[in-house]
This record gives sequence, structure tokens and C-alpha cells, in this order.
Amino acid sequence: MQRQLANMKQSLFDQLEELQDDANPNFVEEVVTLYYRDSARLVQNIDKALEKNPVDFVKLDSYMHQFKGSSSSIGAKKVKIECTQFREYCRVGNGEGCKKTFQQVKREYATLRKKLEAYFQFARQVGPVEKACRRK
Amino acid sequence: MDSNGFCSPRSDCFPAGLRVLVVDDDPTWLKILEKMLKKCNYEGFLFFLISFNFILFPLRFALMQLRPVFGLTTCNLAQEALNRLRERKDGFDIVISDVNMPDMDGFKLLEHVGLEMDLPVIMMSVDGETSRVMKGVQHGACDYLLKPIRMKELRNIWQHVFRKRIHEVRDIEGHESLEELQMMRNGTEQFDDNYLYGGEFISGKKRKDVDNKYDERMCGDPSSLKKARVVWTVDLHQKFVKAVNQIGFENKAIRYSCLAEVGPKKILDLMGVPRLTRENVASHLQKYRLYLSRLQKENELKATLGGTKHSDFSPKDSAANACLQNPINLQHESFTVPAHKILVHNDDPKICEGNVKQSLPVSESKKSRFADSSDPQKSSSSRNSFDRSFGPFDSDVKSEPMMQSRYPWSTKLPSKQEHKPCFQFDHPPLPVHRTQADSVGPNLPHNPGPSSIDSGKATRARVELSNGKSIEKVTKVESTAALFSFQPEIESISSSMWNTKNHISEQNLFDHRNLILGTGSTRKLWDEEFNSYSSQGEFYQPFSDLGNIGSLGYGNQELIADVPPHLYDPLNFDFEYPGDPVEYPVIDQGLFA
Repeated sequence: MQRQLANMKQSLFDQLEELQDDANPNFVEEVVTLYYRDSARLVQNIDKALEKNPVDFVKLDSYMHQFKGSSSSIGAKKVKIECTQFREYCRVGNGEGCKKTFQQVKREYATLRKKLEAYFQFARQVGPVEKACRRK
Repeated sequence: MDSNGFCSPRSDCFPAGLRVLVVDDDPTWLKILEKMLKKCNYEGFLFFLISFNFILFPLRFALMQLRPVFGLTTCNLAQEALNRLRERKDGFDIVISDVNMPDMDGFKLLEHVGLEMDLPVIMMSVDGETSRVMKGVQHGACDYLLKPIRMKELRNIWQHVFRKRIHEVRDIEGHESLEELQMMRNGTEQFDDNYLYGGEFISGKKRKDVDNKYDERMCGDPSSLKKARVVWTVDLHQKFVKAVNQIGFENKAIRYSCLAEVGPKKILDLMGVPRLTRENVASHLQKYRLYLSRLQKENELKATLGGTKHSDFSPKDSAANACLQNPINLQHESFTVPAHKILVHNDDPKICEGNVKQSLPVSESKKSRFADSSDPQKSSSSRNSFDRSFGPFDSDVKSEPMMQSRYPWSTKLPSKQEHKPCFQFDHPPLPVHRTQADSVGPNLPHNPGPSSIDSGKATRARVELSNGKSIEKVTKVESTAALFSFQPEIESISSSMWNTKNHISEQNLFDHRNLILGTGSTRKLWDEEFNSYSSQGEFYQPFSDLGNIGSLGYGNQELIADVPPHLYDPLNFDFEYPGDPVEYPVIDQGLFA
């Protein structure tokens, strides 16, 4: 399981972990939580914008930009890739393509969430000792 | 932190304690950045995170978590962020801002911060496209980071703060030094002339001071922030001014030479600013003095001239008197403007003297000289007269200008009855001045009226017409040049034209005077002088006007022939004075061609 998580993790995620210290033992978790709150909102907005007719690509693009930014903050690489794809479709004004891509994005996003949750659960179970080992 | 005007010298370990303002609309990023910055030892200092997230609940949640750690400020608007920055001008060292923000473009914020607070700004964005990065740099960003931001990238942001500080100091010092050098070079010469100082000695001394300052700065250890370089911010300067005023600034206003009474040591004590050295204050004081003297001169001139202006329009006598009086005033003023860009330094003192002393007698003699050339002839003859007048003038540039400048006025009275031209001269200028103050239109009509010289009429009309069109464009130089080149009639015409163009009725006269005097003071002074015909004592920048004269391309030369000798004199003198090398050719064309 750790391996799985490790695969998912990016170097950035590790870096996030590095930021975690005694003063902020749950730093990573806090950050991720923040991320999910913010990104959930963004996903909602994107969904709404996609449903509109005609699709407001400018707005979509800005939403996606934000989402991409947030995702990059925790190192969610896959999500980020999908976002880039989405933005490409936005640029050409391909509404259908956008919708399709967004489905992808959501999928990746969901996967990430699951994995992170599992990770945190695991991390909590394992405790600080594990964390120290992992840092090495 | 240090809220003085100094480049805040921090604790010894420079990067530590860097005050960073992070502006981003993504709370996730804010949190991460905050943590990272903390880790870089930029801690213990104010750390404002501004989130533009428009969803309050999660934001509040996030902020609540962060609050105990930092003095966290939240605002939903970039505008508010700007306000906070403005509130604490020296509360931050560097700003890190996201590019995409809901209410304000990151670039705009960048511009504002750069302009108002002159803080280094780092842009960051997920989007790393070259065009974006270029745009960021164009807007003045010190750096452009790509998200996700690495810890190591943040560790180095202090370099931007440091770099900026060094450049600031160097720029300020450099500009100031250069400026000072120039001012001193111009001013010291003036001083020398006015105060009969050992010009070389003083100039050399002053230059040496500047050089020393340079050395001081250059030799300073730029890498060591411990050696606080003084940046004369507005606050610091305010303190300085207050201290100076307390000590007895009034003296400064009157006499430049009295500045010595205002000692840097006293100022330093009064200011009570730590870390400010006597040398800092001394150098700043120097610059300040020059600046003040320049202002003072302008004000004085304005005051004097303004008073005499009206007299010009009155009968010639009064005008003449005014002229006479003005020179005296002007002399004072000229003396008090050592720092002015003085076109003719050397001549000023002499001119002043000449003005006062040699009035009619000299002018009479000169007049006779010019009388020869004052025959209504073609331009060539007028030119000759000019040349002639120039000849003697050349030799006696210093003294002649004064006399010459005086001529028109001093001779006004005596020659009024005899010489039409003289009369004309007196007359036209006055109305001209008046009209000059007005717009172009009124001026022109005046000219034909007073001048009774037939020869000049035609040219006048011509000039007027041409001037009328280009009135707006005609600069003072032109007006002054016109004055010089034109005979009384012409003068009136040109003056009127000039005036209208320059909207400075007195300009012609002033320019005349100024030219004569060759002072490099501002045109304002010139105008004033003209009005009062007392430009003799003034040191204005006739040259700039002279340049205009050439541009007018009048048949000034033709008119010149009609111009009474005394008129020539001023012109000659003006040309003598190298106000502006560029001007000269113009003038030459117009007058001497």
C-alpha cells in the first residue's frame, strides 16, 4: 500500500511532507484538506459552466487554470495533465472535447482523493515512526 | 522593523527576517508558501497572506488555522492588498504575487507595487508560457516562478531584495552626485562671479566634495548591509527640512553664502535620526541648498518682475524707471540663483554692475555707436551693425550686455523725443508685453500701432503674420531673438508676436535681457525681466529663445536695420552668451545670416 501511495506521490508531495515538522505535524494533511475544499468548489463551477449553453470558454479556462494551480500545489500530476488537456480544448472552443476531458479530470481527481485519504489513514495508523522512515 | 527612511538594516544575517507579502487567490498555495517561507528562516517577521478566495467559509477555516502563526491578514480584493501595502510602506521587503487573481490582474498589482512602493515583486503561476513570463518581466517583475514552487526557489528570493537595494542606493547616489556635480559646476561658476570667489578654488573644492562622495559610496561595502546607505526618503527628508528650518533656514533664502550657518552637525542633532552620519547630512544639505537657491531665485524674480510688469505699459517714463529699478532687483535675484543653469556665468556679475552703474552715459555712447548702423538699411547693413555691435560686445561681453541691455530702457527716456526708434522701442515693448501676456491675437494689433517706423511696418506685418501662425510655437527664444533682431518697431512686433507665442508679454524684453545677461535662469525670470526691462540683472536663458529666433526666420535682419543701436546691443550680448550651443546657430541664421 505504501508503494502504491508512493507511486502516486510526487516529489512535490515529498516536499510537502518535508514541510511538515513538529510545529505542524499534520501539515500535509491540512494542505490536502484545503486543496480538496477549494478544488471541490472549482469542480462544481466547471460543471456548471460546461452545462451552460453556449459554453463560456473564457470562464472555463480561468476555472481550470485555478484548478490546475491548486492541483500542482500538492503535486497531483495526473490531474494536472488532464487539466492541461482540458485547457487545450477550451482554447479551440471544443465544447464536447472539454466535457470529455473534464470527465477525465474528475476521474483522476477522484482517484487522487481516494488515494490520499487512504494515505492519510495509513499514515495515521503507522504513526510518526513510519513518517520518519519514509522521509529518508 | 526599522521604520526610518533608511534602507532598513536588518540583523546581520540578511536573508533572515525578510518580510514577505504573498498574494494569491488559492488558499492551498498560500498555506504551502507560508510554510515554505517560514522554513527559509524568513520568520519572525510580518508575513501577510492575502487570499482572494471568494468563498469565505473555507477561507476562514484556513485562515483560522494560520492565524496563531502569523499576523495574518485576509482580504478578498487585490485593492485591499494594495492598501495594506500602502499603509505600511516599509513593512515589506518583497511581494510574491500570483498572476491570475479574480479581482485584479497580477500584472496590474505588480505595476502598482513597483510604482508606489518600489518593492521587488515576484510573479508566480502555473502557466509558464514564454509570453506570460515575458509579460511579467515587462511589467517589472523581478522574477517569475512556476508553480509548483520549490523550496529552493524560495530560498533565493532575498537576492532580489538585495539587488534592488544596491541599485537604489547607487542610483540615488549616482543621480544625486551627477546632479550635484552639474549644479555645482554651473552654480559655482555663478557663485564665483557673483561673489568674486576664487572660482577655481571653490569649484574645485566642490567638485572634490562630489568626487569624495562618489569615492565614499563606491568604496562603501555594497555587500554589507550593515553599512547602512542612507536613502533620503520623503520622511527622512521631511525631518531634514524641519531641522534646517529650525536652525535658521531663512538665511539660506537670502544669501547663498549664508548657508554656512546651517551646519550639518546641527542638523544631524536636530534630526535625531540614528545611523545618520554627518557626512550624509552634509551632502544632502548641499543638494538642498542648491535646490532652494534655485527656487528662491525664481520666486524673487517672479515677484520683482511681476510688480514691474504693469509699469511697462504705462508711459515710457515709468517703463524706463521700471526698467532701471528692475535691473537692480534682478541683480539681486540673479545673485541668488547661483544654482541656476547659468548660460553666461561670467557676465552676470559684471552685467549687474553695469546695469546699475552704467546707465545712460554708457548707453548714450553706445547708442551713438549703434546710431551708425541704425540707418534703415537692408538686412545686411543691419547685420553689419549687429556685427559691429557684436564686435565691441564680444570684447566686453561682460560689461556690455549690461549696458546694452540698459540701452533700450535707459535710453528710452532721453531718446524718446529724438529717436523715433527709441520711442518706438519703448512703446512697442510695453504694449507688446501686455499683449504678449494675452494671446496671440491681441499682441499683433498692438505692434502696428505704436511703431511708427515705416520701414518696419512691412516687415512687421510680415512678421506678425508669420508669427501669428506660429505664435504658439514660437518660444521665448524666438521672442527674445526677435527683440534683439528687431528694431523698436520690430521689437514690438516681434515681441508681440513672441509674446503671443510664448504667452509671455514680458518675454521679449526679458528674453532680451536674459540674453544679454546670459543668465541661465528659467524663462520665467526672463519674462519678468522683460516686463520690467530689468533683465539686465537677470541671468536667464536667452539662448533657448535665441534658438527660436532663428526659427522664426524673420526678415529680422531687415528689421534689424531699423533697430536702434541699443537694441542691437542686447541682441548681441545675448548671442554672446553661450546659453545653448544649439541656439547659437539659429540665432546666427536669423540675425547674422
